[in-house]
Amino acid sequence: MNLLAELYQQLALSLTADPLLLLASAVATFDPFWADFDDTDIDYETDPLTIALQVTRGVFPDIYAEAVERLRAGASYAEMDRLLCKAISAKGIPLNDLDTIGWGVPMTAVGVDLEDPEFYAIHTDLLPILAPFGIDTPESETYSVDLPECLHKVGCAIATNLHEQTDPALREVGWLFGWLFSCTGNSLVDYTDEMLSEIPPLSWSPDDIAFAVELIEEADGIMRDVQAGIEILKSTPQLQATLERNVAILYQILKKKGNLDEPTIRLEWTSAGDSADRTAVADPQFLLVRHDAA
Amino acid sequence: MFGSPLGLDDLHTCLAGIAPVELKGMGLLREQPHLIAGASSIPRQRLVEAVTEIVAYTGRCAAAARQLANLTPVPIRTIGIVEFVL
Repeated sequence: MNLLAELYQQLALSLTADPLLLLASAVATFDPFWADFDDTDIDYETDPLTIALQVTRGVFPDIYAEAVERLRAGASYAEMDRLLCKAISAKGIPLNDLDTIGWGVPMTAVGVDLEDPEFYAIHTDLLPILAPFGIDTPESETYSVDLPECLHKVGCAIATNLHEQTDPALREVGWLFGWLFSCTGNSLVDYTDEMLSEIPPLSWSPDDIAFAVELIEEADGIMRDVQAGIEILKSTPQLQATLERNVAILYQILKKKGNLDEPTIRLEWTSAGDSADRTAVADPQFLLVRHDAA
Repeated sequence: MFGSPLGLDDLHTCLAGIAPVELKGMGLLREQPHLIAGASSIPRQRLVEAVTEIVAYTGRCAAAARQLANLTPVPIRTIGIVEFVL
């Protein structure tokens, strides 16, 4: 061991011998940014790495611990960028680029704009599913698709009615229509990226982060159900036929009454859970009413 | 104690009598003094526990310092500190 290394070792040993110096050394070693950040406010104008260290120190101490260790080892900015983005993404927040951390919690909207012709070009598999609603899919280049009046009312009524079914497969189809007609109640599923960009982003406060994680997890779950719903509808022609009939019923009710009073609407659905058992499923509210009447 | 004069020495003795804080990070440094120079590595779980505890500790210290800095004057009628002619 050379003299300098020996000196270092002796110094380190001396620092650990006194309780106060040991405490100071521990803080300097494990929490070197302890005096750098305000507990409540994040300065979003500062550099991304500082923001990331403040965010992780407050909310994800395990990431902060790793980041400090890497910084002490002399990690480059690019390495810190990769480490922090990967670790924060693993917590449920999709951060792809550290430079964007100052914009607030990143979130991706997956909502549908049925007036956007591009949607129909990308999702050609959904055209048969949307056809019963009377949407004229664009055949030539156009800026906007004309939608039938009350389309969203009918679409949301279908989604709501399917959610009330006991068959889990029908409820998955319900999420499909909730997504298509922007009525799931989850902003990431109901809003397009353009709509989301008009809303102030969530901050990196602990409460906002917790809310964002919940929102993103819920949106992911809904989109898994949406995908399952698409497959169910594609593979169950009887259910597609029932859908067409129920959409027609709702349009008729709208035409007669001028509105859809959802609690009084009774629709019957074909069971979609098992291809061998695709019998008609009555609306459970309807059964309840009949039971009460008896 | 109340009602009897409290000298600066007494106050010093009182504060000095507080047991030193013992944090996991301090234990790690005692075990591996090389950590101070960053020349050693620690199992991830122990590192995370140490950092989490120290972050919470420094947070409490900062909060206490803020509270002390913003203390409103308290009239002391029952304690005498002779050094300040109280």
